[in-house]
This record gives sequence, C-alpha cells and structure tokens, in this order.
Amino acid sequence: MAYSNKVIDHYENPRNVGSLDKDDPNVGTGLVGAPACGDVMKLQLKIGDDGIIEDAKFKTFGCGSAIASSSLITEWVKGKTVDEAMTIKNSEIVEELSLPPVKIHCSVLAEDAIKAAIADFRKKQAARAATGQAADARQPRAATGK
Amino acid sequence: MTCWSCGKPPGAGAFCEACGKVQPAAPGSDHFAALGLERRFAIEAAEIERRYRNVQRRLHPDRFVTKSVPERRLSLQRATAVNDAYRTLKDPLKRAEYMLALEGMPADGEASPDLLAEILELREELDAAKSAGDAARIGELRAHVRRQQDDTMSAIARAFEGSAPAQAAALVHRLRFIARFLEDASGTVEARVQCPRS
Repeated sequence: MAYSNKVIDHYENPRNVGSLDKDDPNVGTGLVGAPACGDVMKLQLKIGDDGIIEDAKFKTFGCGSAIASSSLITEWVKGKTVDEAMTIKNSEIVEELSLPPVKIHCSVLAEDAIKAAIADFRKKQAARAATGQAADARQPRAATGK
Repeated sequence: MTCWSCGKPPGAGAFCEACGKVQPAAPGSDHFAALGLERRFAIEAAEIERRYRNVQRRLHPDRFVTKSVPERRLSLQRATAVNDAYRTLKDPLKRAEYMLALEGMPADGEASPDLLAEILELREELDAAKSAGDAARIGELRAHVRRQQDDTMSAIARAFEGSAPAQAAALVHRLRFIARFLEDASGTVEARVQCPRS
C-alpha cells in the first residue's frame, strides 16, 4: 500500500512528539489503543485557564498512518479552544492525509485521543473545583473551632 | 449422509470408507474439522503441522489428474479448505480470533485502560532502551514480554475451556498488543506467536 506524501512527511518529521507532565492540573492526557491492530497512542494537551490549547504532544506506537494522524491533529489543535478541538472529525484527517479505507481506523484513534485528553482535563478541573469548594467549606468550620 | 459415488455411509473423513472416493465437506464444518482436530485453543504447533501434511498429501491435485470431474472438483474444494484452516489455526492469535468468531464474540471491542497503560509503559521503556542503544535492556524487555505472551496464551486456553469467551476476547486484545510490541522489539517481523506446551 502506498502512503501519500503528506503521511510520509508527518511520519519522517513528526510534529510535537514527546510528553507533558501528566500530573499538571492544566494537562489532559488521552491514552487510546486499537485492539484490532495493537497500536497505542498517547496524546497530551496543555490547556490555559482561558480554555485555549497552548501545547500538544503525542507518542504513537503504530503504523505510519497512526503516527501521521496524531502528528497532524496536534498541529491542528494548538491555539484552538477546547470546544473547537472537540469538533474535529476523523474524516478531516482522512481527507488531509488521503488515507485509504483500511487506514481510517488510525484517524478514528487520533480523534478519540483528543476527546480522551479533553475528558481527562475536564475531570481534573472538576476535581480541583470540588476540592476547592471543600476547602472553602472547611474554612468557616475551622474558624468556629477557634 | 451417503456417499455421492457408491451410496454407502462415507464416514467422517475426507474419503468414503466404503469406496475411497473423496467426499464434500460436511455442512457447517469448521477449520478444526477440516484438519480433523478437536475444537480447542491449546494445540501443539507440531500437531497442527502433522495433521495438515497428512491430509494435504492425500488431497494433492497431482493425485486427481486422472480422476473424474466430480472427484477433481471436490478434492480441490477440500484442499482449499484445508489450506485456509491451516493458515488460520497455526497462528495462535488467528486461532483465538477464529474461535471467538465461532462463539459469536468478535474481539473488536475497546481495550481496557489498564492494559493500555501497561503497554504504553513497556513501549516507552523500549523506546528509551533503543535510543540509548542498550541491547541488554532491550533483551530483558523482550524476555519479559515473551513470558507475558506465554501466560496470556495459557489464560486464553483456560478461558475457552471454561466457556468464558468474553474473558478470552479481552485476553486476545492483550495478545495483539504483545505481538505488536515484540515486532518492534525484534526489529523484524518475528512476532509469530508460539503456542505454549499444554
């Protein structure tokens, strides 16, 4: 099967390979895999308090199309808001990279990875808000205890 | 069932027990039946090989060149089915996938987060060892994952014996990720999984 030039470009010069600190409350981590082929994809987003994606990194252990799909999507999401990033469809990746039908699942994996990273970020934010409220709630009790 | 040629009961084999003529495959017969094997996951690779050679020798087209048209047609059909069966069953991963398909439980669901985290960690360690040119560490990782592979195959065999196809399907996911890891760890396509002794 022949890869398109764009796939080869992303495969040979992948953008944004690496890791972000998964314990950073502003970092969302998406870890997805394709049981059908054994590919694993980790995609991380660093999201500012304004909801803008400041940085994106990925590590993909899989075929050229999976690497190209994750490389491309990290380029696309930078500078976007979380809500905008949620609207990216795998079909846009398929079109941009001219992926053949047998490689469509690679683009699905990249879309899933972004959604998983955003879900993880939102979970962290919700947990932080909850502990923040709990801390606020404790404050008056601590005061009355004096 | 009667033999198409002599009209007597042909028995279960590829050839009629009465007249020796080649028989069509029984309706609904599967890859295991094609090789005369019991349907189970734990089969020695050598046993599959032996059955295949044995039946394929008897169905070889060279033996049928002077035979009648129905015999040539039936022997070709059976030989093709035997080749398909052999290709599927000799590879433990394909064998497990095939057994799941027979159970109506295809292994195409989502991988568990724990499995993904475990595989990612191994992948990252392998990457680090490769970048550092640490052949000893690569060897250790490969040996570790090979043990995981053996354990997973034993567990798959137990899941099938215990009629737990959903459990077998989850283990097949694991076997696929392991196979891909070993492909990358060896740098060649040497990920052919070997069946554990059972």
